[in-house]
Amino acid sequence: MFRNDWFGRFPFFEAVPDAGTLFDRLLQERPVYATRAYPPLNVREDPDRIEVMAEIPGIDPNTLDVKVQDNTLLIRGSRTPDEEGGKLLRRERQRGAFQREVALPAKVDHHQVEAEYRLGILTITMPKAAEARPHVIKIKSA
Amino acid sequence: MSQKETTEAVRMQNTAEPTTIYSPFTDILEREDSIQLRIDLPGMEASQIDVKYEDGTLSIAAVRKDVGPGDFLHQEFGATHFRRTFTIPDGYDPDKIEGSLEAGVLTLTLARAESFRPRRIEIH
Repeated sequence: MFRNDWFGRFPFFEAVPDAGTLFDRLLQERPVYATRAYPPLNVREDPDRIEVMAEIPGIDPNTLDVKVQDNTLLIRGSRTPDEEGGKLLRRERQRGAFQREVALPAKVDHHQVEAEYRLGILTITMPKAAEARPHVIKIKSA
Repeated sequence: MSQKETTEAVRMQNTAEPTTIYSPFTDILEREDSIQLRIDLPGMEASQIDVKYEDGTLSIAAVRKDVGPGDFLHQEFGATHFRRTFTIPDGYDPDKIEGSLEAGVLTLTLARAESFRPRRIEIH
């Protein structure tokens, strides 16, 4: 169902050797985006629509490219956090271009697709095409 | 177990509390007069993020309950317990820590304490 092209770089963990810099205590494993596709996606299907959520904090939604073509949703963009005016002591957040494709489980109405970016999560709602919605069949009794 | 303990145990199992604890990705930027932490906390509102400073330790905690009702066909992120602590070195003023949240990124700015700022010393 998924085809993932990930152009971003691996998260960069910089050692903090001296006492003058910040260091932290990790409680448990951190999410390892390096071995998984970015951004993380959730897909939900309702009788009348398909919803895809992507976890992409800290981007300008105007730089995102979201397309629905045939039965595929394409999400493309890049994350380039501002690093001006200082020295990066630690770099963990994902950077670079990303692209993910989702093969949709049903036909959707391209003209009614809506996308919202809120709190760092992109939600794309795609109402199903009329013929893809459940069709209630009335049973005639003789 | 006593009656009360059994009820407590059952109640804890039934809550939607996330069991995965994630250390959120953080960038640390050092500026001339401050250090800035940028922490990815997608899906969190400011009121749901708990930032505490105590005894040289800065701790960040936020609980993200389920990311939406219903079942997912495919799920790669969900209920998450974000937690991370940082040890702040000397030289930063704990009263001057500022936090802001935008697009799921928490930015914490720690100002260098006055006494630790570089300064010119006049020689007479």
